[in-house]
Amino acid sequence: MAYNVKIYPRILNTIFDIKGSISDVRAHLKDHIYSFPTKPNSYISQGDWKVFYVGLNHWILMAPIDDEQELTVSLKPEDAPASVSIVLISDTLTFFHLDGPDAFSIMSIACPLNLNNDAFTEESVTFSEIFGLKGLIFRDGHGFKFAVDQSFGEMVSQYLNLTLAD
Amino acid sequence: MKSHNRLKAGGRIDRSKRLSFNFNGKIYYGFEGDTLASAMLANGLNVISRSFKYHRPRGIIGSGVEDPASLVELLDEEASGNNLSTNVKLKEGLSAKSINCWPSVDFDFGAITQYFEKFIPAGFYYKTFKWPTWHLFEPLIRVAAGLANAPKMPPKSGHFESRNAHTDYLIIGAGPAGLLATLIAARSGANVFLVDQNTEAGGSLLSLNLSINKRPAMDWVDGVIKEISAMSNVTHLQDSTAWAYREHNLVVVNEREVENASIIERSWRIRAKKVIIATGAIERSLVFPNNDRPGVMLASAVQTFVSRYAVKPGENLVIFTNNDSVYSYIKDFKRAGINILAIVDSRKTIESDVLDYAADERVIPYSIIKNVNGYKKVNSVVVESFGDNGLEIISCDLLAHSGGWNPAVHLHSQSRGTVSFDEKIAAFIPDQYVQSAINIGACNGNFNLREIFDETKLFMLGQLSASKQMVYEEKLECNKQMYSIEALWSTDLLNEKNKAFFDIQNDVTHHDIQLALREGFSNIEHVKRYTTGGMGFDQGKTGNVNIIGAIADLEGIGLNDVGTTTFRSPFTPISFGSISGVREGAVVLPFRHTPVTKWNLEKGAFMYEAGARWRRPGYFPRDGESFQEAVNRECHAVRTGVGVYDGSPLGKFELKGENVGEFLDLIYTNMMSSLLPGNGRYGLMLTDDGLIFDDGVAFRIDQHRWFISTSSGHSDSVNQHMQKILAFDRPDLDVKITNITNQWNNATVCGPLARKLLQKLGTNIDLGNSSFPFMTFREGKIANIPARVIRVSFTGELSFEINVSPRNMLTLWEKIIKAGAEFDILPVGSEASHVLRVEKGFLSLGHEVDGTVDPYDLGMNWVMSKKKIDFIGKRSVHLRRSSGIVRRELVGLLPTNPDEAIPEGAPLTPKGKKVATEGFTTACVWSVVNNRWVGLALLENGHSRHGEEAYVRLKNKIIKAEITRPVFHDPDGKLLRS
Repeated sequence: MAYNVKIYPRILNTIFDIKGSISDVRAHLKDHIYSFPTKPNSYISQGDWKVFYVGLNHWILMAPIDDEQELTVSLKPEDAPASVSIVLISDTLTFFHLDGPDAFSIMSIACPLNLNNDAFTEESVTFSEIFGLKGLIFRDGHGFKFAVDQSFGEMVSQYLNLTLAD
Repeated sequence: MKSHNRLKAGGRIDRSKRLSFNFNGKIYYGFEGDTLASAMLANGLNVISRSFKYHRPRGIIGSGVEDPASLVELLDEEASGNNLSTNVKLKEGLSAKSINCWPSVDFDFGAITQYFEKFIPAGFYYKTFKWPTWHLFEPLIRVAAGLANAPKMPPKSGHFESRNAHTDYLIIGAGPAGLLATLIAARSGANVFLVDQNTEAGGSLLSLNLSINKRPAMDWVDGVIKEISAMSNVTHLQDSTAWAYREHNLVVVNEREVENASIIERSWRIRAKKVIIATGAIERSLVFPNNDRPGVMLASAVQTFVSRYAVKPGENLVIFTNNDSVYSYIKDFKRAGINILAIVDSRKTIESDVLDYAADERVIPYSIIKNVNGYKKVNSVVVESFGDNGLEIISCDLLAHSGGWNPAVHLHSQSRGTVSFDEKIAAFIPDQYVQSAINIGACNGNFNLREIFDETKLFMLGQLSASKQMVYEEKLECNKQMYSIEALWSTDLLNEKNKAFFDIQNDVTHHDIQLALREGFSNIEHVKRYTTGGMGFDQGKTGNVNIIGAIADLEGIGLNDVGTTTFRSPFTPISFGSISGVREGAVVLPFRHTPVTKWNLEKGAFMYEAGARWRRPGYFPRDGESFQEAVNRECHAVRTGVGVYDGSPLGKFELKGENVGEFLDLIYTNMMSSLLPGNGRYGLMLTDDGLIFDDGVAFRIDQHRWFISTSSGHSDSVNQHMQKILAFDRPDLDVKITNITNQWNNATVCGPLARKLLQKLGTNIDLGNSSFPFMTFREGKIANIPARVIRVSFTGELSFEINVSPRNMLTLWEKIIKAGAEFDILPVGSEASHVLRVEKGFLSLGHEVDGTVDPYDLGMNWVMSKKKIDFIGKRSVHLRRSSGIVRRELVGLLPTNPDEAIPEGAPLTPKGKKVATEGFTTACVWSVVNNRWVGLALLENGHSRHGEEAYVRLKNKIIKAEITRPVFHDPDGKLLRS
C-alpha cells in the first residue's frame, strides 16, 4: 500500500440536523445537550456525542448509531417549537475514518481545504469538498473523519481504493 | 556506438552506473545523471527529430525546458507523447523514437514539403482548408497535428495522483535566489514549499563554474539542501515543474519523481500566502539563415552539456553573440578540448574586461553569421563583417549562439502580472503584480550573482518580523559576473532566401513575420495567431522576444508599444494523467447508488445515469429478450398486476417553521397552505419568467412541518432555489429546510394488485381507499419495517410509495419481490416508467418540460391558483399569455399507422412541408394497453386542434398522426384513486 493509513469506510452514525436560534435550541435541548460550540466551524464533544456548529443557526449532533433510538425519544423532534427544526438524518451521511500517519496525505488528495494544523485545528469542522463532492470534515484523534451523501458512498470507496493502490 | 563525445572526466554524472537506452531501434549507453539529450549527444546523434512544417532535420538546441526542437516519443513502460529529450531523465531500458518523420529521421519523405514552401506560407491553412469543405482536410490535419502519438494503452502499472497543499511560501526555482529565499523563510519557522524543475537543485550554478565564499558554488548549494532537508517545515519537490499559476495564488506543480513507486506522477495544487518566483532566465536565439541546422546550439546549452554532463557537442566551435555572457564559458570550453575558431560579436565595441576572457581567442567584432552550411550537421558558417563588408567562411561542426537572456516571466505572466521592456538588458521584466507574488533573481532581470543574493536577502528579511531578522546573517561572496548587450532581433533578412527561424518549434521564419505585417496583422496577438509564433509547448521561450523585436524594427516602434502576448500554461508539456490524478476509470464521472443498485446489477438490469448522477435500471432484460419486449413485459405487469420500482432518487426535503405554508404558496403555483396534516398536493414550481421549473408533491406532517418531493434531476436546483429565496427575497419567513433525499429511500409498488401485495407484506396501516385515499400519507410499519407510505402515482395505477430508511431499503425490496412472486411482480425500470407516464400524459422534465413551457401550455390550468395574490412566475405567465403570442401546446399523437413509431424530437410542420416547424414530438412509446404507438407533442395552438392531422417531417418521409388529448389510458384517473 502506498500510504500508511487505515481506512474505516461507510460508517453509520446517529445524526440529527438542528436548526434554530441558539436560545430556542438550548431551551428545547437543555436536558440533553448542555454545551454548544460558539465558534463557527468548530465542534465540542460530550462523551461519545459531538455537536458541530456548521452554519448560521445550524448544528449537527453526531452520536453512535446505537444511541439513535434513545436520542430520538429524548430530543423529541416532533415536539420542538416551530422555531426549532430537529430532523433525524442518520442515513443521509456515510462516514469514513482515516487513521494513521498518512491520513493527512490522503485528505490532501481528497480535499482542497487547508487542513494544516494551524488552519484546521482539533476542534475544527466544516463542509468542504471530498473528491469533488460536498463533505463534512473534522479531525479525530490522529486522523480525520469525513462524511458524504450516502448515495456517493460506493464512489468514495472506489476513490480511496484507487488512492491506496500499489 | 562508442560514446565518442563523452569527456573523460567531470560532469555531474555517475560513471559507475552505466545505463542502456534505445533510440530509433538502436541501443546506446549513457550514465546515471544524464538526460536523454545529453546521452544522445554523447553518442554523437545529431538529428533527433524533424520539424513540424518543413520536416527539416533538427538536433538538440537547448539543454533544458527552452529546447524547441528535440521532441521525442517515449515508448514501452514510459510511453508518452511529446517529450523534450532535454527533460527526460535517462533510465535503464528507456526507449524513445523520433517524431514527425517517415520512414526514418534520417530519410524523411515529409521533407518534400520544403520544395512546396511557396505554397504553404504562414496562414495558408486558414485560406486553403475551407474549400470545398473543412471536413475534407480534417482527417489529414488531425494526423499531422500533435506531432507524436499519444499512448494507446494506459500505463501497465502505477497510477497518477493529484493533491492539494497550503503553505506560507511557495518558492519556485532552486537556483541561488530560490535557495537563499528558502533558507531564510525556513529558518523563520514558516511553512515553505520549494519546487524546482531540474533533477538537481542549483539552477544556473549546476552549469557555471562559479564560487561562493571561495569554494565551488555547488558546495553552498549542497549545504543549503542539507539544512532544509532536516527541517519539517520545508517540502522540497525536485524534478517538479510549476506549470500553471492560477487565481488566488494557486500554482500547479507536476512532480515526476515521487517517493511512492506506485505513483507515476503527482500533481500538486499549492495555494501560498506568498509566491516567490525564482525561475531564472532563458537564453534566446539569434535569428540568422539556417539557424536551425543540427550543430547550431544555444551557447548556454553547450556550456551545460560540457560542465554538467561532460559531453562535448562538437570539436570546432564558432560562437555568435550580441552580449557578454558567452565569454565566461570560454575557459570551460577550452578545458573540454573544444577548438574555439572565432567569436563573432555583433557589437562594435566590447568592454576590455570582457575581452580579457577571450585573450587567446579570435574575436570578430561588429560582425554576424550570414549563413550556416550543412544539412544534417553544420560544416561551416559564413561570417559577414560590417566593418569591411567582407565575407569569410569558417569550417566548423558546432555553432554556439546567444541573443541575450530573457527573464523567465512565464509564471508571472500567467498570474496576470504585467511586464515592461528594459532597454538595459534588452528584455521584458516583471512590472505590475496582481497577486501576492514577487520575482527575484534572474527572472527579475538581475543576472549578477552577487546582486541576486543581496536582493533576495533584502526582500526575504523584509518579510519577517524584526525579531526573526537574525535568522540569516551570513555573508556571501561570489564571482563578479558581467552582462551587457546590444539587442539584435535578427540579422538583415529582408532579401534573404534561406530560412531564418524565429520560432523553431513552429517553423516560423522571417518570411512569415513579414507576410503577417504585409497582410495587416501588426498587433502582436494577431501575429501570434497568424504565424503560430510563440504557440505550442514551447510558448516562445527562445523566440518570442525576437519576434516582438523584429516587429518593432519593421514597424519603427518601441518594444513596449508592440507589447507581449500572455504566456500560457503549461510551462512545459505535462501528462494529462497527472491533472486528473486518481480520477480515472470507474470514478471518472460521479455516480450515485441506492441500496438496491447491487441487486439491480445482479438481476441483469441495463443501467444508465438518470439525472443527478443516479445510476438507475433502464429495464430488466431476460435471456434472448429485446429491449422492447422487456419494456412491454414490465408495462404489462404494472397495468394488469403489480410492479415495483426504486424511487429513492426523488428529491425530498423537510420544511419546518412558522411560515412554511406561506413559503410553499410562494414557490408552488397552487395553494399548499390549506392542506391538512396527512394530506398532500401535486404542484408545479415556476421560474421568475413563468416557465415550469419543477414538479412534485407537498405533504403536511403537522402544523409547522412539511415535506416535499421534487424530480430526481432537479433536487439540487430546487434546494438552491428555495435557499436563495429565503436568504435574499424573503428572509422574513421562518422556514428551515433539511435535505432528506437520502434519509428516505422508497420502493414504489404500483398496479391493480398493489394493495393486495402490501396486505401480504403485513402492515399496521389501514390501506382502505376511504381511510387512506389518494394524495395522503400514513406512518406505520410495512413488513415490520418503519415506513412512511404515500399514495401518489406516476404510472396512473394504484400506487403506494413506501419510504423507509436506506439501511432497511434492501430488506424491504427483497421482501416485496418475495411476497410479490404470487402476483407475478416485476421490477420496473425507467423505460417502462416512461411508457406508463406517456400513456397518462404526465409531464416529464426534459421531454415536455424543456424550459419553454408554462402550465397552460400543458393544459394544466387547474394548477394555477386563482385565489393566491402572488406566486413566483405568476406575473410573467400572465404577461406572456396576454400578449396573444401563439403557444405550443401539449397534445397526443396517434400515428395513422399504429405500428409506425415517431422519433422523439421529430419536427411537426404544416402539411409536412419544408417550412418552419409548428412543434415537435416530445415522446413516442409503444403502448401495451393500446397495442399501438402513442406519442406526445408540443404543437402550435394544439389544444384547439384535436381531431386534426399532424405531419411529422423526417428526412426521408412524412408520418401522419391524429392530434388527440394527451392521455391514452384511464382519462378520468379512476385507477390511481382506486
